Amino acid sequence: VLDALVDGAPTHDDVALLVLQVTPLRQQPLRLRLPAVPPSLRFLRRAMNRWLIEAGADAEEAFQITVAVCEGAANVIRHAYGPQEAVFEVEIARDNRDVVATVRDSGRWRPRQVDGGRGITVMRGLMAAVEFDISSTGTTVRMRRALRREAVR
Amino acid sequence: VNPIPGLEFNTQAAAVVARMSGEIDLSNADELRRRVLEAVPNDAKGLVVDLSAVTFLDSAGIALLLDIAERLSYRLQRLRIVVPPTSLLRPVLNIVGLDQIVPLDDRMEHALLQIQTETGDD
Repeated sequence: VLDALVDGAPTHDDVALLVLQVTPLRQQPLRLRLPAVPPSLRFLRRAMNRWLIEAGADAEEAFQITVAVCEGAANVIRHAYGPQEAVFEVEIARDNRDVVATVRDSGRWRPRQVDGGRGITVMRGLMAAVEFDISSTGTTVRMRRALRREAVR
Repeated sequence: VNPIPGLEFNTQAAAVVARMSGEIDLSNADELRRRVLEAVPNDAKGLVVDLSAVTFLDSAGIALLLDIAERLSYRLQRLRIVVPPTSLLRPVLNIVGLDQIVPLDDRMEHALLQIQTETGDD
């Protein structure tokens, strides 16, 4: 390495090589609790895109993961009606190479009833895995996809 | 409140061009659908929707495009959609098979030329 740096030329003084590795702090998961109304989607997109780029996603990955998660959120919003103000929660976290996203609400919607299944097709097409968990306390969508770049440690 | 994305119309070679910009989602897709359909007169040969400046589009936006395609087909009018090959929207449109239903063009000139060719001179 040293030879390459000084090009084998004689030097007048000692040469030392100092190697540093930059290790950024591990990124915290993104956790949002949002009202189940259409304007929340815009806020969610902004927050997610920023987080994903910080997590090392490239522009295409950030866009596609954002679209997939917003489909989950849009399903919640489409289904959220009733006298009470509904909210939903989104969590995005790193799991080694993967980005894991969870969209959770307290409603009991059937994914395919909401938009003829097109939103689900988009989610499945953009993510490596999509799972629905429909229980008496709510509906949870979990998605994951690996990023091309390694996670920061 | 979500701003309605940009929507501008002009007429070129008897086809209406609808240029959308910004983000299309659940909050504005219905409004866009209404405004686009209102802007296409019965005697237009077709409609070109230009998505070149659209920065986000989800399944609500895809539903909007499919609805417009269906309405125009009743009136025997052509629909083409301009999406640059490098657009981040392309993979999303392909996943739902939109490209199988509505022809996608890389460039506006090509879309207009196709409509002109397919509809003849009258």
